[in-house]
Amino acid sequence: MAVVGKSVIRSESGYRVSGAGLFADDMKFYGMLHAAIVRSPVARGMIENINLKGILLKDGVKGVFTYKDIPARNAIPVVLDDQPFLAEKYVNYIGEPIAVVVADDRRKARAAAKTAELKIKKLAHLIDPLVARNHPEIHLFGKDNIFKHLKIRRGDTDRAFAECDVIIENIYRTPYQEHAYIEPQAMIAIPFPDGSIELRGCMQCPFYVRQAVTMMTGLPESKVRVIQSATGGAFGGKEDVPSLLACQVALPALKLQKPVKLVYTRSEDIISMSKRHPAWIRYKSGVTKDGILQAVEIEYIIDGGAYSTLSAVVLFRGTAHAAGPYRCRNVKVDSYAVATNTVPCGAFRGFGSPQILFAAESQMDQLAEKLGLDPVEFRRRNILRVGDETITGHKLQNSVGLEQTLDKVIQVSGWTPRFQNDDNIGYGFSTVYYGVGLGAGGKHLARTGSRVIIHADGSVIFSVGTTEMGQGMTTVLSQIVADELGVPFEWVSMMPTDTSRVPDSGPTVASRSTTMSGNALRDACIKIRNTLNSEISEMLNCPVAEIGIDNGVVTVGAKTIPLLDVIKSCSSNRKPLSAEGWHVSPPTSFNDETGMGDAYVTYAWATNLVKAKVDRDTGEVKVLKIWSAHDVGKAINPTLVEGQIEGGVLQGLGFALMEDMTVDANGAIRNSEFSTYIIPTADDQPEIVPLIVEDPYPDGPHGAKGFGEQPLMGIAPAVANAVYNAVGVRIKDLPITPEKVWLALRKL
Amino acid sequence: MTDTETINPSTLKDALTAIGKKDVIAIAGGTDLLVRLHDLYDRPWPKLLVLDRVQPLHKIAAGKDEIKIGPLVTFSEIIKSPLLCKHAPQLVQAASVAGSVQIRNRATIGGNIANGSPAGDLIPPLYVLGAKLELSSLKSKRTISVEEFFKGPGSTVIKPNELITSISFKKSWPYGFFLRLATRQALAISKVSVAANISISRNKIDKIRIALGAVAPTVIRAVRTEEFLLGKQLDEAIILEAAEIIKSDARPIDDIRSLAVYRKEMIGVLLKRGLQQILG
Amino acid sequence: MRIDFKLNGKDISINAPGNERLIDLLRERLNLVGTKEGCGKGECGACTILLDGEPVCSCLMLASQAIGREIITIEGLSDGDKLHPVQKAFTETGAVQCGFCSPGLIMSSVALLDKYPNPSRPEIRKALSGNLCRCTGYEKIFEAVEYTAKQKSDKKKQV
Repeated sequence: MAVVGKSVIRSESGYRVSGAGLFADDMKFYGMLHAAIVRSPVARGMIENINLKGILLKDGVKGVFTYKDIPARNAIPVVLDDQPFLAEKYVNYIGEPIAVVVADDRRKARAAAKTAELKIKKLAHLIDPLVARNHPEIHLFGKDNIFKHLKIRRGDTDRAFAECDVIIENIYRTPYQEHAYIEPQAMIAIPFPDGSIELRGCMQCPFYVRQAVTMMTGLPESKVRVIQSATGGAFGGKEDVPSLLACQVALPALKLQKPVKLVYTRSEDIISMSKRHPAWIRYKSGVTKDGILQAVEIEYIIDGGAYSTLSAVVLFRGTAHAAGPYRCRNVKVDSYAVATNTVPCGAFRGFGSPQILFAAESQMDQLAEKLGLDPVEFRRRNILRVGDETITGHKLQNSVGLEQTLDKVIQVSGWTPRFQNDDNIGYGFSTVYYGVGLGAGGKHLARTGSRVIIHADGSVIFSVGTTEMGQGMTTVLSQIVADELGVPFEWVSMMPTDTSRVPDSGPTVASRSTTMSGNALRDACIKIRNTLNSEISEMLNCPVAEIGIDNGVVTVGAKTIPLLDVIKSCSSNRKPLSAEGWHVSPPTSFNDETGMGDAYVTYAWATNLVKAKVDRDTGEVKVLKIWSAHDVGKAINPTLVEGQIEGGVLQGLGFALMEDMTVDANGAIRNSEFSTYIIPTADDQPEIVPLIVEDPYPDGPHGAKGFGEQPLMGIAPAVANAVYNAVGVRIKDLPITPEKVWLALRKL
Repeated sequence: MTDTETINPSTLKDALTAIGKKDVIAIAGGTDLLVRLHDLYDRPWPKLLVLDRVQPLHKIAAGKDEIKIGPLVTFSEIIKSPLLCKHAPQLVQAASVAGSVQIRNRATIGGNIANGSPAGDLIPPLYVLGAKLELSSLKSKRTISVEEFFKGPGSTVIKPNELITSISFKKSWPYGFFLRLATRQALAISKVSVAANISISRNKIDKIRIALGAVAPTVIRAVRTEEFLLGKQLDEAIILEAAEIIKSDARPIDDIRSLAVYRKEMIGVLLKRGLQQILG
Repeated sequence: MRIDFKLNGKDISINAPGNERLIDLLRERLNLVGTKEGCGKGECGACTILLDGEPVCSCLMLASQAIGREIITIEGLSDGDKLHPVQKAFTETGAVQCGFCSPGLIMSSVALLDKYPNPSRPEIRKALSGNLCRCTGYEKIFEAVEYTAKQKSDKKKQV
């Protein structure tokens, strides 16, 4: 009986519910010291002096470290290496790390860091990316402050627009979004007498962390070991920035030869850690009266903050998805990631696509209305199906379940175009898609390793290079291993992700773990299975082709023996039941000049329907129900798929309605606490109906595709469309606050 | 070396003696104070006077007309009190929406007052109930009206050697409400709030108090609206007119939670809804 | 000072600064790391414990405020290896994703069910609205509470 496809209970849940989840701050080491960070109070400035002596005199302080103490390179490797680990002469955003203070007590370390005397000469700074782009005097990056410019040039948009019957052009804005993982960033460095060092902390990408520590320390990779601790939520916010924390603890740990722990306060985390890029989008779409999308012309600007970090890759994903999941022959996209003196932005569930999809899906409804078509019919005439090409010219050979998701939402919700707007209630659709895996923008990282060992007592351990962060990867991969080996699910355990166990396997991002690690594990399991099969063949004197192994029982014809007997036999005969596996992604491509190419190996697809009620007096939008259907290829664990949908949808709802992070004229984030950065509570949650569609991806394990980011992506435009449907106002800058709705209603 | 001990008296006299000492501040539930102290790094914490064990400060008592609440009564205790549900519905409604279950189990009425925020949810109800505060020091006692207590955001007239020792008010008139708007359903500071205390005799409003929260540097009485409504018969037209007038009673600002122009309008919406409920 | 209180059913007496945060007393001094710190300001509920049966944020309590009180932490719920019914329900309905908010949510759920053995969905929402979860969207957490309530009432019916 296969375990894949079943909603087995997560193996890791038992520890979590008893509080034994071993998060970084739960761990203590003998002689451990505590670090805190001295940070820039200004958005841009020149450091004239740091009173290091003053810091050292503070109560409990054991050391203070600046860039001068860095053994090798002062840089955090991401895509470019423009971000220093510790500021040298200049600071470029409020919160930028300048020094690391270490004390015997956490509060003392923080006190010393907070009261450090800094002399910084303020310099003119830039906050608005539209102002920063091509700024004549202030140069933050190159001559034009543009981290990256990407293009799509397909067909002839000028000619196509000239032939359109309806053209709609709008400007959309989306703000920062803060991950608000409930576990604040935390990291521990443990030095060993042989000069090696171990890093333990919350993270998505142990190999990134290793790379950063080796770059900073000059140590060889063999001397740096990174082990992920239980990670309390990430959503992209623990992708590249743990490298900063790792360097912040590794430096003092090596210098003082003591373990060093660093835990950020919540406001420190919010102020200094990466976020979703704020975006400005000018979006022009044209259709002919037969309801066919003929042309889109898009200018998409994202605010990268002070250093480039992941902006180029975020821009790539946003660019590739810019038109939404539709056929369109004429596409002109210019996208820019711009430097400003604000916190560097990075990865957040959706990675550049929620912003552009907010615009794209808002446009679709407006076009439909002008055409006199209902939003579903209009989408049906344009959505991608097998055999179609995406806007990057990628011909889709298989696994395009978009229409199925649309059908499913309509079927389950009972929606019809004739739904009346009673009592200010409106309905709004969005259809979205998501390129699974790193795609052409990250293809050099698209490889993953695994290792599997069956012990003599039948228990199985496996290692992969990707990480568990609550999404359920441990269980999904355990299910895959269990079925591949033919053992009961309960025999299988995953080791904490550890850079010493598998070769560099890239980051845990882009919803890639199920496909990448799943395939790498299958590769290893097949090798072990071969050993088991040849042993069984000898033991039972039968051809391999007749052997069945399932749930710990070997069956050959009418004969059955326990698999445990085979395992013991292998052990006696000194045959190892262990193997490594490896998987690389099929090729992807993207031409930087034209934006053409097979941008991703496959895509996940989704349809969302939002039902919302608008209070005309107060402008409050109450979302009553959300139907969200996703084509995931194969649901290896349906409950976990539902969990991703429910969680992602609510995060998308926060983005749509209440998460409103802004920066003041000085470059300071106005809402740096959970009391002022508002995320949905249990009482804000609408009824969410998660729906699963399976259109298998042939190269995925059991047909599975990744999709964990997708549930967030289409909620904001569906809410905007529902609000318009309810009361006739269209909000084009997020979040859709009561104030904005109310002001828009007054204008009507 | 920071003095890390706290003072934990069990009698009011010991508490008043302690608060009279230098650099001692009182902590009730701690839900505001400990948040502020969390960010205090540049000097040692003041010595904390823990009031939990002073029993007399936890009492709710009723006389013929008057109710007396001790400052250490928590929001949860207010919500659960049958006496207050009957005779101070505005106060109970306000306590029910503030913070979260965890916060309400610790936050106290005395702390909410002493914190002096114009968005403190219990304050508008106390205004309309005509509450009086007893402020005690070791050697003396004084009673002032709750309206005289506040000077500005976070600023009150309490002296460093005083504690709030009692909050008293007359039982609510027959009609009372507390309404507010906030950014989400829980754990949210009010954007605007309205509390009312109304008596209707022979179909006309013969007594009325209205207080507004989060639309001025302190909670304020909506004086013009009160004057307008006094003596009037409550009907749809009067309600709409009152809802217009109350906008001029408010002096809101733009801040992280909302806009002044919106807050001004919403005061009218909340008043309208509260009065319509009475009508209906 | 001497902090004497009842912790997870046992009387304990420990020396600690009076103004130490209760969460630090539990996590650092007593090594009970099940109670988590998400914000330190009572805004996320991750540090929720039961104080005389009522949920409170341990990050907003002082050690000396625990004197003479009865405190239950997540560690006090399970009986050896046997999980409390609420804990078990959380694992079974998929209410745990990253698990960081889980201890706090479980404590709030236990307190709710002790008072209201059959809570309605709106009652569950209100009771849990002081515990932030960013992973699950809360749905399967509500299901865990409802499931526990149903289990208990089914058991009662059996007797």
